[in-house]
Amino acid sequence: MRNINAIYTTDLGKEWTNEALLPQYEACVERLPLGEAERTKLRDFVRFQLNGERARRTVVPDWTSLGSFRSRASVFEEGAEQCLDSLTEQIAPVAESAGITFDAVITTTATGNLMPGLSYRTARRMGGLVPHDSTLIDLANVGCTGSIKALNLARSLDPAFRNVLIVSVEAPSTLLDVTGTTLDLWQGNCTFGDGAAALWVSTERREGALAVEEIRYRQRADTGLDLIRWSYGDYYNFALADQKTFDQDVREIVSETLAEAEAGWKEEPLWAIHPAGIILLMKIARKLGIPTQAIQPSTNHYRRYSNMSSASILYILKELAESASPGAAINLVTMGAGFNVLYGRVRRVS
Amino acid sequence: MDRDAVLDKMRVYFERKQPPDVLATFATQSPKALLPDSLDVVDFILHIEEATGCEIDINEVGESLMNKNFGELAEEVSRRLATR
Repeated sequence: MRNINAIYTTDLGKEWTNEALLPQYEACVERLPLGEAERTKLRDFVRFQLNGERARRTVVPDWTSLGSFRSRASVFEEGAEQCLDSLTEQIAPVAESAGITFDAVITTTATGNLMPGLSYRTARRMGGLVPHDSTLIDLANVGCTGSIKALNLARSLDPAFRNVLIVSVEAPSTLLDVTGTTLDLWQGNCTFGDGAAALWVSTERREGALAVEEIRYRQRADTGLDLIRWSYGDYYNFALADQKTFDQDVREIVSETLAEAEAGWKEEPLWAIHPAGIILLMKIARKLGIPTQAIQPSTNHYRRYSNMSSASILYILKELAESASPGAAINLVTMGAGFNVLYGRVRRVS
Repeated sequence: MDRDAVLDKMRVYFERKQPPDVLATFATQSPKALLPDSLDVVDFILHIEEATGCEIDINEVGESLMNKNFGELAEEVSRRLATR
């Protein structure tokens, strides 16, 4: 059995609120080469997406400077380095005081490409805490499910890998593109925020650890390739299948996965759910009889940070774990490009 | 389902949440004012879906939710329901 001994998160860069972002986006929409009806539709869509109080953080110092592959890739690299600095400052003292080293480092990001990858950059910062014979793995292009897939990979490793460090770094604000006209691109502009988080996963448990009881995986590569994907401008753009197909297919796949795992979650009221498509989650929750309060930690996270792709669920899990009683289980649900859904369950040990 | 029937079902959602004077002039009230948070909007749409038995694409009615009053929104929802 693997245990999550510690969860680390960081508040990156600066905050963008809906209130601050909306007038800037509206000005951008005004400049787009659109007819009046299309412009009105897009403007209303953006207003709707940015309705209410919500914030997100960004590593981008000045988003108006984004406009080329080089500018975006550079900002991603600088932002990723900041994330790793911040996480390492938290992880290293804990690992030193526990007298452990990491036998593997698994990193994930879907919002940028680096070579050498994040795992090597993490190892460099950690010094002797990641010995030279450690295994370093970068999971790329995984999307929002990356951190839980990394956890699933960690729990599948031979027990000789006693301590594994999982790091998720996502900087979707580096993809922000205000020159496009499609609704899904603007949905991406409005929906995402930057975040980074890490897990110390171990064969030995510390006080307050979370035992990883189950991770269930459902991939639908046969029908789901187009549901969430990159399209291309000067960089990568967020793109979705048409909304109706997306809603129907995603709801079906998530519902199937949760229905299969029902015995595991039925009596457990705590949920860490990836905060994508809140309306979809609320519909699924109603259908499966999951109480609305179960969505609350995810909606709280979404209001404060928006959707941080694979990092979000680790922030939500950390919040829940801090207040969970010994013996309480926390259900994990995440879904994303592929299309795939993961259900997991961890339990706080005494 | 005609506009007035849809409007009645919308009003039910606000019955214990808004004062009588707001409910008395419900048709002229703004969704943006009564549903200040996007999650309130989601909850409201789910209520309408359950009350009418039809799915509503939130993106399709987004414009009305932002710019129109409940009377106009009810008219639009009624029109969309009639085409299904």
